[in-house]
Amino acid sequence: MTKMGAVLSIIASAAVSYATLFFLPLAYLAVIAAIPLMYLKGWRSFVAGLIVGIGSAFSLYLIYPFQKVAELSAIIGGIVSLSPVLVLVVFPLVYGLILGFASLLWSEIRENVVQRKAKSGTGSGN
Amino acid sequence: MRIKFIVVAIVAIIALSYVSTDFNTLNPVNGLWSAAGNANYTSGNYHISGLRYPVNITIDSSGVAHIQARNLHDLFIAQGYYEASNRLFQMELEALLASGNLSSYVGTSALNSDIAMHMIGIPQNAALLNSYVMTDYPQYYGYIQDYSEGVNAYINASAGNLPLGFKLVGKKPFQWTPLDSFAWQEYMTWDLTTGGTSQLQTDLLYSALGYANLSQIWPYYPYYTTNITMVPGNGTVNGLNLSDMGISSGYLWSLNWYSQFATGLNTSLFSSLKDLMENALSNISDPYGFSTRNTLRPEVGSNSWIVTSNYSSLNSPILANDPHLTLLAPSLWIPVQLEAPGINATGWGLAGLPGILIGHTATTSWGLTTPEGATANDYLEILNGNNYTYNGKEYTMWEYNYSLLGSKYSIFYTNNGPLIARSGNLGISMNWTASIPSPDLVAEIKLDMSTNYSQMINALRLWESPPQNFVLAGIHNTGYITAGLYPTINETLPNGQKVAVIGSRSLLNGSNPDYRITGQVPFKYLPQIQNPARGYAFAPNQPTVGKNYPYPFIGGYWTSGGRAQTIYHYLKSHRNTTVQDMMNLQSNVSDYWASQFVPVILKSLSSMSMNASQAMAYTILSQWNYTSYVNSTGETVYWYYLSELYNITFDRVYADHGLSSLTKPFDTSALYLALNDPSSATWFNGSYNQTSQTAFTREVSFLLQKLGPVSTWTWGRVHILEIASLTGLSALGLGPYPMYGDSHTVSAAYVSRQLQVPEPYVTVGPSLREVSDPAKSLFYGVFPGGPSENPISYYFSNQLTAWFDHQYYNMSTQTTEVRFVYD
Repeated sequence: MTKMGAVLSIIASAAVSYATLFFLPLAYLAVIAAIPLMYLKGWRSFVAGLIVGIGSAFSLYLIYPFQKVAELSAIIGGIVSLSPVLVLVVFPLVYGLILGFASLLWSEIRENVVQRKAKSGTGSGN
Repeated sequence: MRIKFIVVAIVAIIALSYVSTDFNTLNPVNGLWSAAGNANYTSGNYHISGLRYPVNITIDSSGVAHIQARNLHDLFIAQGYYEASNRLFQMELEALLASGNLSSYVGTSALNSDIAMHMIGIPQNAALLNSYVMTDYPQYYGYIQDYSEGVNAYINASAGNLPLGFKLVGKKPFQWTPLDSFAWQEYMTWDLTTGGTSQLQTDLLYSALGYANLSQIWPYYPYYTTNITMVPGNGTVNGLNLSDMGISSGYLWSLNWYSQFATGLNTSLFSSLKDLMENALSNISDPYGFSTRNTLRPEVGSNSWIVTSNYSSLNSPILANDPHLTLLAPSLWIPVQLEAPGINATGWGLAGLPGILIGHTATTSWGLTTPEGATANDYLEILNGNNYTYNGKEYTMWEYNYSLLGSKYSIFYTNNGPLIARSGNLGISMNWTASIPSPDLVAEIKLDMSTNYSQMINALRLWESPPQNFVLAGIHNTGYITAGLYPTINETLPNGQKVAVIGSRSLLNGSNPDYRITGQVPFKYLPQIQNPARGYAFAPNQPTVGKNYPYPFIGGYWTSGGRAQTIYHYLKSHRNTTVQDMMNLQSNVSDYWASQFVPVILKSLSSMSMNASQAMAYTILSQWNYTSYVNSTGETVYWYYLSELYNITFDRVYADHGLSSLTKPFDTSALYLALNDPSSATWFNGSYNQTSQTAFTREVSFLLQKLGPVSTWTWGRVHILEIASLTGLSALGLGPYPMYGDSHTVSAAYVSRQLQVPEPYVTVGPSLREVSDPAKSLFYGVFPGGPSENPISYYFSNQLTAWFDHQYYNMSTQTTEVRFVYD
């Protein structure tokens, strides 16, 4: 995977992530946003997924005035007896973790497929 | 193996995130956070189906919406849309509460409340009212439908971006109908109804204490109130009084109105009915505790007064009103101006109801307080299976069935009303005037259209439940009328004379036709006064009329009159009154009863040997000017002295009889007894002075332990206001705030008398303040909140600081902040 390819994967993942968050904001759909990251290998796919997930979800707070978000997080925190900061980060964090693990999953699946193909290719050569 | 682990991890995270069922409502786009994007109003055009012409709405800097339409149809659609866009969650929650259907939203925790609403009859009465207004006032019913249409237009438009409350509870709004408005009207009627619980309480006390003791602590007219009635004088109204009817008021009010001649029941029965009466009390108490009255809370009320042209500095009538209700966030009120051909009214409407309930037009102004005369009366019924006995015969009870959360419930009705408690072959039914449809919304809209005093009076001919002291001011005239349906019972006095009375002190015999409701007070003889000769009148829940009134208020459960005394003494000494004087009076935090009681307390303590802390507390009390600002220590010393005094007098006696939950006597009963029966064995164990010294000693010891040195006992540390959310979630409310005032100050901040630090939170107080001089186009107002229910909106509480500071908004001259066009 070239550097450019990795960047393109991340951009594609972020784009899918924003699209799902806007139109179908369900945390488990991070699994779909993770697909473009399958081209990254191992822990790199997990880290990229985590960052894309947290970053895309968290950045969406920017569509609201910061002060109002802070006030609302204090109120929701009061209702659910959690720290306002935790209330603010919990969705992006969970979304990022799902996206990270899903990236890892897609990456593992892709590697397995590639290895199997490689193995079957070697066999036919024999 | 590695893939399996990753899949398990993903599934686990997703599953964990769904432990909280609505985890996805935390998403930043359209979850709870979208409320952060709806916090401020945005100018623009909004399309509303059903409008015939565009409607202009401007929101001024105080948060009042000015709605201008070309016809009444569009006006009420726009009002519905605007109010829903600000208060939809509140409106629907209130409608569910009133309809006895809250459990469908919040589950079993609301079941008792729903059952109580059905038992009281609120949903049933709302259905009757809906049919009645539809048939008899189709034009006005059309306005109520228009309002509903506007609400639904907002519901449909906001489907993708629901208000915060709906997201928190994970529900979608239901479509609004006129029935929901009527249900809320009925709930507010119950909230302001006198009676129902009062007779049961006094019966319980009667059976425990006996007539002599009960009369000492709960006299028919509260002590020290005969000179401060709403209608000045002896009770004559439009030339009619008891004396002219040949009935001695002295004789009438000397009678034992708990006894058999008055109720048809032998008083010896009461002790055996204790459980039944306590069940009835419990069954009709709103478990949500939202109701201001008809609960076992301390006395609460409202203020209003007028000065005539001759008494005002501007030679024109001035009106002041501040209704005291449960303070909620958002407020029950929403400020609005309604302008269309035939109407131009500004003021406060109840969210969920069309029109303006308290406010003004260009030439009229009005407000209201509760008169505290009984319109709900309880009857003892003799039952046999599903039959009740009436006039010697058995009749089948009417059965009303309803379902909640899949279970079926029934309520049985006698000819007097619904059974609110039953034990074997005895039951208690409640006759409540609100079961007769009352076109109050029609009266309200007519008031909104009024242009002079007589039009206001005519509008109030339609007002029936609950009776209210309407304070009215036009260009030239001002006055009061206690408008509403007062049911009367034809009583035969022991001397054989007959008199129609309002209400009772006790359960009535439901089987005996002699004690049925047989009539009502004619409009002409309702308590009323126009342009009082002395130049002023006032109605802060004190007795509305004197004892010579031709329809005696036997069921008069008035407040102690402390606020009335302060208002009376102020107005009496302030000729050439100004609008500013009215505002000053609304901000008054002097406790009149304290000014009467403290000298008595000081005298009782004067012979006591004191330690340093006691001496300091005594000095503070002796130097106190009877004001209850948050930095007052005198108020704290006084209040806790009374709490201790109650603890060892009234509370002790109540507890001895297992009646601790009943309403405690007024401060004036303690004052009266201290002055007139200081050696009472029942209340003072033989010596008021000794009891007083014990109370003071205990108080100082208690407060030293709880608050530290005497000099730090400021009122604001113990007297605290909380403006709660209807949801009960404190994070959605306002406060707690240190609070001035007490239960007897004009600027009221009611607190129940409990011996605890801090006091129970203040939850009831002035829900708005209004001062008007229509002739000079002077209209001022303020309320403790704002138009929006979004807790992070500026408009959630934009008037709260001004309300705290007793400041006002000129309701005619605010600058425009936001403009909408509905088209």
